[in-house]
Amino acid sequence: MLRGEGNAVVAQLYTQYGAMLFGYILKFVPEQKDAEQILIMLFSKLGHQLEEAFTTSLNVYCWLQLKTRELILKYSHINTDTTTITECVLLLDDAPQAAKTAFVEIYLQGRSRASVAAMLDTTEDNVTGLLFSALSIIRKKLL
Amino acid sequence: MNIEDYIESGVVEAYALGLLTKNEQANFEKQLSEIPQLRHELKTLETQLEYMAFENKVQPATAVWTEISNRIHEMPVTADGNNASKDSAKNTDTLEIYGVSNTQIRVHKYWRPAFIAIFILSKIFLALAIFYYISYRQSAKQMERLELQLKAQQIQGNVK
Repeated sequence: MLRGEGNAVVAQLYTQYGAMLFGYILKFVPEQKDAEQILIMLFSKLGHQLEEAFTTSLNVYCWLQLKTRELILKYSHINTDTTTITECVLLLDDAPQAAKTAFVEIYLQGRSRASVAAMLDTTEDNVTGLLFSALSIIRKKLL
Repeated sequence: MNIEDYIESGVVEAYALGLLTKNEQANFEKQLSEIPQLRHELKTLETQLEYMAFENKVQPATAVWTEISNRIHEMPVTADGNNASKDSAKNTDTLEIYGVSNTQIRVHKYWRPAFIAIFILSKIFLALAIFYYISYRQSAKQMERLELQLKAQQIQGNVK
């Protein structure tokens, strides 16, 4: 892909999804300036990831959202106790506390299942079960 | 494997949210290529996630795109015409970590030698200015002395 074409595609993706992704970032990172830096990082590096973006099994928006979450977890400190809340966590309001904790720790904090298992003093398999029970609840709420 | 149970387990959601392990992801993608119902479920979820994001969208400041555009154009072009290699992206990361949660100003890398050159030139001009000012003052004093000597000689001539 020529440089100019790549930049035009990035510009197009920003026009289409920039505001949606910024809203998504703000759910994790309430500080406006930090959220802007994450968005800047995402789109300024997108030029050399376009092939992956258009060949993945996910659609472009969901792929961008995955990449955004990776950047948030890499560069930002998420505080789940205060303002950080995403739509998916809202869907778990009436879920069992253990399932909610497993989901929040893995999805919002980016912890591994092993790390959550150690934290909850349980097995990795149990954490996997809790995570999938939370995802199953999210699925039912979304349907 | 019962496909209904597999879907009901929340595996599609886990895949779309990036919560599967590498093995689970590879397994899911294999199933995805073979089971149309799984592809349909994924498409449905993608649409829902996109709709949720659309409902919660927040327009970023205009300066955000200006900064992205500047960074894109700063990146070196690789042989295949793309903007930057993965290595250079890693180097950019190092700078960007500091960009989050602090107030440092990010400037173009070519500004540093330019600032140094301007600084050195300004020092040279300052030294020259001081040198010429001192020379001028010395010349002025010398002229004053000569004028006084001349006046004294004229007075002496008049007296004689």
